[in-house]
Amino acid sequence: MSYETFPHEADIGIKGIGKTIEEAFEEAAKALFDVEVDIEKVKAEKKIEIECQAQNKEELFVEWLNSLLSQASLNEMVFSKFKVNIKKNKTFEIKGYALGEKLDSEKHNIKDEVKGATYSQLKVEQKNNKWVVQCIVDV
Amino acid sequence: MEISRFKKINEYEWEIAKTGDMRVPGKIFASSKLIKEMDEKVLEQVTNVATLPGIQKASMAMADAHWGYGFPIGGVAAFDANDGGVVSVGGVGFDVNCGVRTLRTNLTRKEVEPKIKELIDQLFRDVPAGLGIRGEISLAPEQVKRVLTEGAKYIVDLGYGLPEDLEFTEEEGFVNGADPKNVSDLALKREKKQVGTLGSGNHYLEVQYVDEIYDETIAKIFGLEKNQILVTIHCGSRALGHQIGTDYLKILAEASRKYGITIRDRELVCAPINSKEGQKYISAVRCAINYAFANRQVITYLARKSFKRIFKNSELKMVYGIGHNTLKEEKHKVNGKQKHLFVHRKGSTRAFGPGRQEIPQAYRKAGQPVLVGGTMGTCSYILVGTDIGMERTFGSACHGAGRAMSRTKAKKMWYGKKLAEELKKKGIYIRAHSMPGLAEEAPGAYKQVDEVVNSMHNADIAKKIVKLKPIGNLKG
Repeated sequence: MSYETFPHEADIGIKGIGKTIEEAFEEAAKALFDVEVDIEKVKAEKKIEIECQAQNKEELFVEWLNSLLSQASLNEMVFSKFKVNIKKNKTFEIKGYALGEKLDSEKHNIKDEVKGATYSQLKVEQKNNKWVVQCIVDV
Repeated sequence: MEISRFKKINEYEWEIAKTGDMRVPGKIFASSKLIKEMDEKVLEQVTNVATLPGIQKASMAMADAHWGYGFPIGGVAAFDANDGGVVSVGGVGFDVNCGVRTLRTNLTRKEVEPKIKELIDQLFRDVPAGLGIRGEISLAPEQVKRVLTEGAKYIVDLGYGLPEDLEFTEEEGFVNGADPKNVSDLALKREKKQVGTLGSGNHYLEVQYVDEIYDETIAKIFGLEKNQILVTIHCGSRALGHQIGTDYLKILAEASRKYGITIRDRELVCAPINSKEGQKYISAVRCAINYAFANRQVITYLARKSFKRIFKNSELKMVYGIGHNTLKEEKHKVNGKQKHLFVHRKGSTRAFGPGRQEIPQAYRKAGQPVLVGGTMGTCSYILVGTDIGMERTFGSACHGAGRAMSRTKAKKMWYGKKLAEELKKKGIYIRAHSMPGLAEEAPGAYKQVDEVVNSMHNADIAKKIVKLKPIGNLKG
């Protein structure tokens, strides 16, 4: 559905809103990379598989974001499209992927480097048939 | 914040009474003006930290405090392992051992000012900066591990520095007890030739001059003279450090549950010092500390080369180098008893007073230099640690001006390009890798650094030695 950032005194908050929890996670990932670059300028060319797990939905959300940041850094890429599948076994698990391209400082309008997603202002909530997920990212 | 919520100890020390599950009181070291302007969240975060097991004396925040994650930025908290003390990712941050190092040159303002554009342009070409940037030096995996265990010492051994660079770096450029086996493969892979890169955000390399001297004797001991050109490097442990923070956020979240530690906020996840997870985190943090020391050492090497190109006879010697996002094992007196403590400084500089063994011999009688980075448009300071600081704040002081405005708001108020033009008119030449990033760092988005530093000075926690003014700045 949509994504946005919200102010924090030192860092930046990111938020994803979706009809499902998966969609909210995907939207929040767009907000994450929009903190770093203009994501509409990022071509969804190359696919990187993302897998992560956590004890609860909130920590899973932070794991998802941090896995994306790690993979972006490792592959020297930025991402603009995302797919999430969440399963609940013993723990909560994500099997998903991110699409993007090599980071290009000329093309992508670099804004900030996100160091990590934090547990600060962390929320994974269902309200009025919508999922809203958010946290503060360290820049 | 409402000043009435604090008990006034003196003009610059304010106490939050110990109530409920707080184990110690909270303390903020700042003028009433700064406290009134601080975000409510600082009080909440200082109070939350005060509830953690094994915390000693008080949960503290310095004059530059602002809302962080877990601990406030500007937060200081010390823990005793024998008292069930813990270590927390929120007390160190993701950019482990982010810090500064200041070099003094044999050049004067008069010599450098006419060539500042040329100099900053040269530095801009030579010092890699910006998101995802790679460095000039490529280390083999085995060499990366040596950087993690031997920090700046290994870099100097490789030829990227002088032995005295180490002498004038905190911990002589590396801490013991750093075992790379506690660092994930992912963190090692993310290293990617980043040693010797500034990074982005608020990281910078600044060319400054000594504008004002407050203590002639100590300034002389630190090798500082009026109008002398200095260089300050501000950066951290890059992607490797960020990944260590990320990895251990998860590990400590699980440890908090495993050891049944009650935390008020999820962001305070922690592990007992005397637990497997706690020990692993301490070891991994030490690896990142060493990496950051090495990073600043390589940048020093690059800066020297740039200077030589513009000023053939230039010499850059260390004033001092120190981290301000750290977790350190230190000896401190608590209620008259000498204790081994684990001190978290999250956006706070170690500020040891005279006589401490950790201070280089040449400075020991004076005290440790405390490097306080201001904003690119105002000024920075060098202070010195004091005995009072040792007693009141575990030898800790402020680290910068401290943000007063969110990045989002700053970007709405300033444009990077226009800001650079305005600063140029003021005699400060800026080169930045990210223009939106530059706007976020606008001087107006920060607290008044003078007020912050004066709070530390008037509280006798760290005394002012010199004021530095920028003439050129290279931003990540």
